[in-house]
Amino acid sequence: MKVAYWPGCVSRGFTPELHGSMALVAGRLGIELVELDRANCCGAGVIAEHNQELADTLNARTFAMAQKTGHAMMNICSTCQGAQSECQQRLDADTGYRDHINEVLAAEGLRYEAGITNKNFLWLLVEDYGLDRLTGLVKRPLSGLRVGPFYGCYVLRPTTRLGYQEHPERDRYMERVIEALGGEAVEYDGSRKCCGFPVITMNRETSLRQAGRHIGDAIDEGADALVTPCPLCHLNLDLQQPDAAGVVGRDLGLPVLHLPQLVGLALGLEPKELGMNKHVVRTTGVERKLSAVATAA
Amino acid sequence: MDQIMRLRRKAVRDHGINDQNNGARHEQAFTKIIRKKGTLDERKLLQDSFGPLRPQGGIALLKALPTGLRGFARGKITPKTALLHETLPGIENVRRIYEHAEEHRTELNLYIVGEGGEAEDKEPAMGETPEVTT
Repeated sequence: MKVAYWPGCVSRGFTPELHGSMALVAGRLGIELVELDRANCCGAGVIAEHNQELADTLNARTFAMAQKTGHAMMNICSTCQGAQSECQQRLDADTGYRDHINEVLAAEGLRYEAGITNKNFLWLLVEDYGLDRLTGLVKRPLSGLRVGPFYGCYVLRPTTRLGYQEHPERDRYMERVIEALGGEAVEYDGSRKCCGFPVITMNRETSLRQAGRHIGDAIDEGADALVTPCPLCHLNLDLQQPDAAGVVGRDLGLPVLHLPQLVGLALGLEPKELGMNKHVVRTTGVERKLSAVATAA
Repeated sequence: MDQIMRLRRKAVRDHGINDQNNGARHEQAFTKIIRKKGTLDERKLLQDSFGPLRPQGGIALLKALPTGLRGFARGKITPKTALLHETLPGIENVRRIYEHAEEHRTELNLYIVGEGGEAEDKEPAMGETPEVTT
């Protein structure tokens, strides 16, 4: 399997362990990543708030680059998925609008044709790669590990834009992946709510309270870790977790993994290779649990 | 959500309404960074969203300092990634897009046009002409 790969800005910025772990995991899965290394930021919905045409043209440029590779596009960031899906919806809806955008792209020899397939790694794993195939590659089953899925808004809402008519179970995929890897998915209140990151610079306390409550919910349901397909959620849930603990007034200390890291652990990669030593909340509890299972087996 | 964003565009651009929080500054900082660099420089976004020369901005940055230090301590953020954000190769193409879009500001309002897309619905929703405005 070969994909046009858009890692997004944050996976190469403040969450470098995500980009690194995806590259390793792709190798183990046999997915060839054709990285779109000249593509620009998706705008994260912020540029669309400034100028809709600007956001749509920037993303049409990325889509056109992906189409030039001849492969479907894959991203590892829920926020990119949401922002790009929003632009794609407009670009695909109206020929005149698309032609207007393509006139600008023509100077670079690019053209966006309606209907690109752009999927988050989570969707690709379930819909295209296949969970049976994934399970067949597991070398270190996550037996006994209780993992709380944290989706992030942008792969959940709005459902009409995100392909839920064709794939109504997309809001259950994280649980299915966790189980395919041998782990136990933990149900908790915050799993499908907003992490609070979008308002961190406007209202820090509200943002951190949201993050802290979700983490607390997961702890109360017995989770050993959270896993997320969104690096921006990861920033609020991991990097900001000590501050979130202060805001909600309780001890937290719950490790938060990126989706490729969870997959990588089950495929036999080592925590350090997957960049888990870069997390603010130490992942030693997860590592200890997996070691204990391996020793018992 | 699209309509809320549209209202925000109109509020900021047409009426010069500035948020009391960092909302408008965040949007302007984000947009400027991508024009200059092509990809997001998170450190600069944080700094410019707060507005470090404002007293409240300086305080907000100080409050965020422990978070940055934690990132440094764990190797998530390095001096290189914090201070030297590389410019995207081919940035001139991104800047050309900016110039065109800032001049035209074309908008397609799917709330009026309908969201079926051409594949399912060749006709504009409700018999209306698709609304493309500049």
